[in-house]
Amino acid sequence: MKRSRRHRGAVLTGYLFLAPSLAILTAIGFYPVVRTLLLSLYDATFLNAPSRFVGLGNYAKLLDDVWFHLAYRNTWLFTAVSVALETAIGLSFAVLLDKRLPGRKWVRASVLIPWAIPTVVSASMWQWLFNADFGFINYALERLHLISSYPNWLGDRASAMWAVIIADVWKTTPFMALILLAGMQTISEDIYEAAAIDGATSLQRFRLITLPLLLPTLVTALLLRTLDAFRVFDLIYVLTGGGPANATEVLSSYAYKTTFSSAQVGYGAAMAAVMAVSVLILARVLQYVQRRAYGRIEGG
Amino acid sequence: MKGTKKRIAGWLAAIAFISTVVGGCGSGSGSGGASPSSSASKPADGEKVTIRFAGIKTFGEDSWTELVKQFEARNPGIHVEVHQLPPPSKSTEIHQYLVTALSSGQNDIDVFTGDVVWVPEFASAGWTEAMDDYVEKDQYYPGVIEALTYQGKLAAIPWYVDGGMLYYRKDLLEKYGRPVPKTWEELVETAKLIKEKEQNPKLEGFLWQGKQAEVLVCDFVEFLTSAGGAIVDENEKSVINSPETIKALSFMKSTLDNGISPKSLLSYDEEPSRTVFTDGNAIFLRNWSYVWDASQDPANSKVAGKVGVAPLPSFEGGKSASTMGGYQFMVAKNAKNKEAAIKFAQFLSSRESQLYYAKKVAFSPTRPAVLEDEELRKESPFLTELADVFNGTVARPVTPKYPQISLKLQATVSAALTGSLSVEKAVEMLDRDIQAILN
Amino acid sequence: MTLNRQIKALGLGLAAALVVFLNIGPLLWQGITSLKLDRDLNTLPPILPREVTFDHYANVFHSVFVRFIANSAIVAFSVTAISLLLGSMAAYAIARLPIKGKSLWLGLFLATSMFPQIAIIAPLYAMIRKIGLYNTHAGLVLSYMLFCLPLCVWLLYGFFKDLPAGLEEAAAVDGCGPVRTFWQIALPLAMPGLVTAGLLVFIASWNEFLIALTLTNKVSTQTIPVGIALFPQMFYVPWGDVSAASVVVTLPLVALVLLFENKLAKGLTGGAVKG
Repeated sequence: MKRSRRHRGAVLTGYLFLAPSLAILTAIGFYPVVRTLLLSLYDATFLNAPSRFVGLGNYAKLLDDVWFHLAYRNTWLFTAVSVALETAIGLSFAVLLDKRLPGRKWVRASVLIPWAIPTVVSASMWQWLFNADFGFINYALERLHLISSYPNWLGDRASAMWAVIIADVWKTTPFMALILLAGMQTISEDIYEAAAIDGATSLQRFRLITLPLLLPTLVTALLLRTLDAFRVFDLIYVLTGGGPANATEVLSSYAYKTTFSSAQVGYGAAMAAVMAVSVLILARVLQYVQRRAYGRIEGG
Repeated sequence: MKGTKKRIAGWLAAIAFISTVVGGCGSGSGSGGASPSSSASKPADGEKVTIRFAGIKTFGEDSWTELVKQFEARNPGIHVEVHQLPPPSKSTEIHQYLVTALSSGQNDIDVFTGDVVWVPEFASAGWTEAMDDYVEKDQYYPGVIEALTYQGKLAAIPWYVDGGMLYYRKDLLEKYGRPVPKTWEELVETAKLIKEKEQNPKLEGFLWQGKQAEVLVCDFVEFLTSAGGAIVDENEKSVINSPETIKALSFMKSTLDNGISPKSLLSYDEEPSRTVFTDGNAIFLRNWSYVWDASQDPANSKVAGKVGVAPLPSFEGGKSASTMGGYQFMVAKNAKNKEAAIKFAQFLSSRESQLYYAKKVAFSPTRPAVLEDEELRKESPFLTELADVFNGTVARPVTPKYPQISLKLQATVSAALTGSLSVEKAVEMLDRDIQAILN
Repeated sequence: MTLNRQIKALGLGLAAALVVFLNIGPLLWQGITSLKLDRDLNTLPPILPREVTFDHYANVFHSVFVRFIANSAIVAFSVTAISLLLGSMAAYAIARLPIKGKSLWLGLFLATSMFPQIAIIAPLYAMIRKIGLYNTHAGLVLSYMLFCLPLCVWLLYGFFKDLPAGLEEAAAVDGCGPVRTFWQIALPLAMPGLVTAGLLVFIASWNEFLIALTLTNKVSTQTIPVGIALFPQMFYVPWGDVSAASVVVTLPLVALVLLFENKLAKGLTGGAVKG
């Protein structure tokens, strides 16, 4: 009798503890998303004109909007290239940090700095570094005789996206490196020692032990970073504003401009909805891969 | 593939269904009705009235402190609260601020500064108070009054106008005995000649602003108008698909291709192009009036005293055109204390306030009388000399949908300049897009 | 052998130096820029300032920027306190209390962190206006719960889960109800998790841009990132002042990172590695 009353009390407390957080997230997360989906079916504007139900009209318009197609492609390009680079570089950072280094604590702390800097600050930092006339990058490249004239990194269609990717890789590689490092440190020393006795070279050990055992961590990190990269906004907004010729315009920035600058709220909502669905699909696919990765570890 | 498309379609249909069932949503986001509650409140005698003023940043943190102080001293019953907006180079953000503030109906601001191109948009949305009864129209340039009039009503009180103009190196033109170019063709010729003779690899021929931003639209409108073309006609129909547009756009692109203009200007807005010019590394520059002061200050300019300014050239047989820029004062329709708000806007547009701004940052006044000030004539002679340019400026498309058109122009013109679209294709696309926006 | 080892050590040392350089180089350049005179900004070389000036810092501290810093601090501290409290309650309920649908609740928290903010921002904006929180610190604090609550719940869930199984039983024997058990026993035991979560939440809200850009438009409530993004003057970007401002807002974060390096690394990785 007493036990069950206690149990009931604990259940009640549980729901009460959960309630405030859920209420807040419902109000500022779930409700707005539903509302965006609904808005995407109206030709809503910020102007006082009443909005009209247009069904899938906004979506039909998207099919025709070449700039939207470009933004969609740019988003995937940005996500794929920057996440791939971050993973490769992050992995090599992690391998290095896993070694016994002099001043390892400091090296590790330095890795955290780009991660902690506000994106807006790092974007304006890179804007200055990439400045065509007075930027450090052009100056250094010229001194190293790698270039003869100063390229205009942010003003050229071909290089602007690369400049954006470089700034993003700089900022987010640390996150990748630290997650991978932590994953590496959970791998037992015994396995390495056994392999060393068997005469495995360090490259073999990395390929045959570290990499497979690190796979689940790697996939998880990939999942987090990919979803983040797909939603990139701050960096583009400050660094290039989407230009030149929309070469760096991504879904978030294009939808934002459409919604707030040209006040086409319904149309912008349709873009956001397409983006949300894309993120959802992407997340499902990556979660599937993640499960497979864990399955392999547990199975083998 | 077909299966997925079908499924997505089904999904969307389901959402559509839910939305009709759930209903609502009709009022659209953020545009809820105005709340009239407080707009009627009248201050009791002796009580201080507060008006909220949103003004752009023009030359520093306290762009408005001095004028506000003067106004408050003369109107002890009124207190002005200043919300500093970003500078005009951030016009997208300023526009967003104003649209969100005004559309909410929560009357956050009473008086504000806005770009001349937003006047039709704000007026047609019913956000601005008609000013016809509060402005002595004959005291201002007629062109300005016309630009601020939408559907027969004056929607703003004039502040300053600006226009694109041609800055040139007086010394270099004299050295080679060349006149100030009247046509674009002549400008290219002169630039080629001087570049060749000077043998200075750093010297650029002609600088304008190619960054994907509002300023690109301004430059484009100047080239286009001086070729005799236009974007939208008086019936709000797109007329951009014309040989004139192709001529103008091709010319812009050719300056980049033939080396008269550096490729780097594709990322230039006003200031980067100004720096190259005042560092002595360019012969011609298209820019706004602020460059005059900047180029005459020996501390920051290597070409002080060697600069001339003239109306922009035109194409053979065309007429010189200068895009109308500049900010104006508007009074919100649901301002809390309309009387005080209008008084303040009138004060800001007065002869002495305009003189203050003309002296401080060389803003071109919208009242001809301001230019009679002797001191000003001495300090900024070009304000008087170029009064005709300022007052013959061309407006960008006059339509409430301007912001949408501008975004399309920025992207498409930029794409044509960088070569990702052919000029012809770009013009076709623009025509289609602009027509779609206007319908 | 020893020579080989020495070469290897040297190689490692060089690689480490390169990593450090790549990571702090851009920030260093910003620091150098912030000490240069305006007229020296447009010339390279020299790399180092010809003449060191602190004018840019003076400009920053004599401007509205001080207000931005205060706003950011108010918002970030409030967000940290509130999201830690609410998040730890929710995490504790899911991890330790006998409620139904635990994986559903956890899934909901994770789902909100995956929403693209752009899909939320317009309705959020309309709502915040409607309830009168536009241009207020409270509006920002409330909105930041969007990404801070999931983060706290996700991290603390792991910590609570790892507490010994008989904890509640033992506490009940001593006459502790669930609320007191949470407050007096579980929470102190999860202190390392709270510190980590607090740091992550603090940094995230200090750096947030999109929401702050949309929900504020007055100096009295705008935060640092918005202030920096809207820094430019009439026609030019005062690079010296921007650099100084960047250094000023980054230094506290660098200090935090150096102080809590260990905890941060663990917090960033904790959940991910456990999976």
